[in-house]
Amino acid sequence: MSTSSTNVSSEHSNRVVLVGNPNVGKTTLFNCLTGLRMKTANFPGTTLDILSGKLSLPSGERDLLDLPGLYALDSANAEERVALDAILNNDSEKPALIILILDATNLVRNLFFSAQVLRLGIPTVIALNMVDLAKNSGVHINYESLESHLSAPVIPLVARKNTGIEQLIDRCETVLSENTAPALPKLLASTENPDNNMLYKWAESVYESSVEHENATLGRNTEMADKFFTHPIGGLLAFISVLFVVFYLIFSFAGIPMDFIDRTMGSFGEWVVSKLPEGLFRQLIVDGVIAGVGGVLIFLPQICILFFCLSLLEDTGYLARAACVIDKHLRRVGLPGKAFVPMLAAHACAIPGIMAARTIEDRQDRLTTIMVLPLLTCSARLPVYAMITALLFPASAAKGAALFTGAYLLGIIAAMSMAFLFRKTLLKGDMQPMMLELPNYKVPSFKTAFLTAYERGKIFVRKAGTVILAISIVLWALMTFPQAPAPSEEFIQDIPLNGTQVVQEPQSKLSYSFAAKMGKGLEPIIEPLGFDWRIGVGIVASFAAREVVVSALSVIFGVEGYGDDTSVLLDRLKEAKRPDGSPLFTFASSCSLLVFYILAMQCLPTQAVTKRETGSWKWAIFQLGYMTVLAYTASLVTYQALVALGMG
Amino acid sequence: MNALEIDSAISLRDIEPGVSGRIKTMNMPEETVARLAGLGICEGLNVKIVKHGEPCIVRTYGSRVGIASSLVNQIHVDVATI
Repeated sequence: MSTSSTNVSSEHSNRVVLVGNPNVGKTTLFNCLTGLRMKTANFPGTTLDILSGKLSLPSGERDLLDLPGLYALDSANAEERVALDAILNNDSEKPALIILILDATNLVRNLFFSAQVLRLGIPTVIALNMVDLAKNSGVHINYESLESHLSAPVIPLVARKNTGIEQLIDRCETVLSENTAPALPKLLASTENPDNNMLYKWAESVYESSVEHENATLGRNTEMADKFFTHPIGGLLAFISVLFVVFYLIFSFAGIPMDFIDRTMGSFGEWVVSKLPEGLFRQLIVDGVIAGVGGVLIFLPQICILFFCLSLLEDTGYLARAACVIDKHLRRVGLPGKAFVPMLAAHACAIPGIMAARTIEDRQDRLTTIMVLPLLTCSARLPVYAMITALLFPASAAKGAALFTGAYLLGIIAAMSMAFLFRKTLLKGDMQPMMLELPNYKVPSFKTAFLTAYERGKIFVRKAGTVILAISIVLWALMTFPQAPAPSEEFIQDIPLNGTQVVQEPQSKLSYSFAAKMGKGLEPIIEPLGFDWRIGVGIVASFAAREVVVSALSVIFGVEGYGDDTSVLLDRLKEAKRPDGSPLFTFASSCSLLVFYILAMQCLPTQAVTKRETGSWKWAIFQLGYMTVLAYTASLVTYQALVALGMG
Repeated sequence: MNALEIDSAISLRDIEPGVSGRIKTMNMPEETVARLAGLGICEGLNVKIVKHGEPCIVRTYGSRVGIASSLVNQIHVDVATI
């Protein structure tokens, strides 16, 4: 168990659990109650991240756990069930209190769920959310009547507007001090094991006696909007427009903070260079640690913007419609409609994509999705695409754009094809048929979106950051040792070129390193792809993080120095020759390199997350294996075909 | 359930949009039945077809559920009792 996990075995329960259906504002309420003081709690045997925060009550702080949103306690998938057992049926530490959040606009179904929760026999306070929406649409709830039927306190509130929270906290305090389990409502107590139908009958009877509705307009606007958003063609057009806007936001707004991070890390590196004496330690700090941390942080803005947008879209209720429209199209290749959120996320970074795949209930469906997600073009590939585009079409923006589009498409087609293939072979079995709630549309909460972006960003930095940092240090060592003999003057031309030092190849000090030896060892294998040992070093160096290839090539081709003056690198790459004097980067070998980087795994943090989410290294290794074979084969075919066509 | 009752139940797929029916039988794995129950689709409950197609949209109490048409075919409802 990690240090951030919550103690699950103390004798006196300090634990309060928040439960409720999906789409009822559970996350919003959790944020209201805990603010920013949340962390991920780990429970043995489950891969689910259960959010945990501090609930401040007059009598002291309690741990508030946010259970995954469930429609019914008995319909949880395998992982949710483990989490449920660990939290609700844990004999050593039963929760002291359950806060059950219900949606006032969808009360019967929520009461059905309440019946299951009340039967657990744990003291419960009911937070009745969205009472404003219910009232506005003509649903009048008699809270006292509801309270007496449920035998538990009912607190009306609007979590989005932060109203009713104080009353909720007060009632939690009272119930905790009394510490008595609620008397089971009469109708529920009369039967040992009521079936679903009976629970619904009970829910209906409670509803009938506690609620009056005058000409309820609830859901009318939603149904009007759905005529368009779930229309086979209109809905698809809406979906594509939404995708476009999200990507536009990611790539336009993220540029500003990304440049800032890049510049800051650059100046920080320079500052360290000016402060530390020259030597191995300075190299380690600047080229290993600072460059490594910068390499992670640079993706943070995109990930935060992506999750901000996703949270807003989910909150409005639109994501469910998108899944609805896209389901039948994805299903043809064996992916469920819900896979589109992870796929969208994977276009920023595979790591949040894989984490977002949790919403897919069926394990086979989820595994298929996770296996193909890293094929989609993540932002770490963009520096590689940009380098090769500049190499091939330095003057034509149109050709460059076409190459970029082609690269994105190749990633998507590869992901779809592999999903189809896995479904036919390794992950056979019937797909879980679609069943998805289409909640009422509502105004999203910006606060929740900000907190989600913050939380996801934090998880990304912690999970990916630590791994990348470690890898950066290992790679730095591989590329530094053993060290070159002291350079004799004739090898170095001290021509200052934009502040960078140009070292004559092939006597670059890198050529003595372990990395170079590995590159040379790889040469016979990668020669048919049009690569030589130097590109081999680039591939080895970027094994753990593909974007490293650009800086690795800078080192290999002797363009050293901090800052990203790619024009010097591009000139060097164009001049690079094979032993026979022919250019190294021809059209064919450049395309081959591009194809390789579109399809190859080359990302160790993703592998770590795949391991975590699938529960075993087996799937992570399989992912690495199949993607490497796919990338190699596709590059081979690309290079050999282009050479045969005379484009070598 | 006697023969007459079975006869009176028709598949949800054969109901016009806007018409509701009371669910009589759901012929599908238990796990699916449990998940649909959580969504408000359960034997004895009234549902209304909003839209046919893939997926089919069914209205149940306060919300709508998108369900695969293969499942809709297996849900039999009684229209007469409404």
